[in-house]
Amino acid sequence: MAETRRRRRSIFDLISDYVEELEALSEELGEVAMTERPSWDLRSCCVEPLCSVFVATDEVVVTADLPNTDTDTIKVEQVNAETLEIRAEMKRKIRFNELGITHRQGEFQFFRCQTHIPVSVDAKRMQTKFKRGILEVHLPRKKGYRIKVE
Amino acid sequence: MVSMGGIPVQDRQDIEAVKVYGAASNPPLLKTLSDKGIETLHDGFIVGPYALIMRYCAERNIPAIALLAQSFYNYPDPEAAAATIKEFSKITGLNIDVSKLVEGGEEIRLRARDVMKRTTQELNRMKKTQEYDLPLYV
Repeated sequence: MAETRRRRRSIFDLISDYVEELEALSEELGEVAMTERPSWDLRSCCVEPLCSVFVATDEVVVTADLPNTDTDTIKVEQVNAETLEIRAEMKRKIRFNELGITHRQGEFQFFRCQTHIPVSVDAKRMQTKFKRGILEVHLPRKKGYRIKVE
Repeated sequence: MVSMGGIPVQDRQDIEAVKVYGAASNPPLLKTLSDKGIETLHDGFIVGPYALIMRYCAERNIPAIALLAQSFYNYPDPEAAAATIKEFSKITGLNIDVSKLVEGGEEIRLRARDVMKRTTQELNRMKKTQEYDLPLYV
């Protein structure tokens, strides 16, 4: 009976769990706040391109839509183990009024985005392809250890 | 009722000539599409507003077709849009000029960036990726 009875947890354990839950929630809310922002920044003349990450079994494929861009201006850099930065320069500056927006002033010339890589990758073996205005970055996943199956 | 949309394909970047598929709310319409040289969908899932339009039209006996071009999943694809309009022209006999859509493709993609971002969130919510699922009929 005593063995099956649920072990009573101290008040400190409960508080610690509660704090962890709050931290996770605040992180989640923080992420929402980070994504809910304009996709452009006038000070740096940058717009954020559409970007997506696909995690396959042996690689991570990051793609970004970079219209109006020349291949030789594209820069892909691993900022840290979990972040990849993509930068590119447009062939010509784009003004707000060219996009039909008359109530804002300013122009853009660069694409810039940072994307989260959810698994470990070997950035040294990174391969890139730019076709139809879409950049494709292939990042091989780091291998773990093999488990023998008997 | 004619709906136009896309079928996301993984290797879209490498496709030079975008293919357009047709779906219809009844068998005679499917035959009409085939007669016009449009490859029709036989099995599988379609997800999105055009899928609902087709369903409601089929229930009410309203003739409906959907023209679906191979496209990017989460990027604007003016080239695919032009391909569907070309097929629409073929069916109706109307001559619709798509040159602006093709030539101005890069600018359209730039303009459509924010709309596409929100559309992608909605596509995820409506489980658009179900279109990749293999059908099972026994």
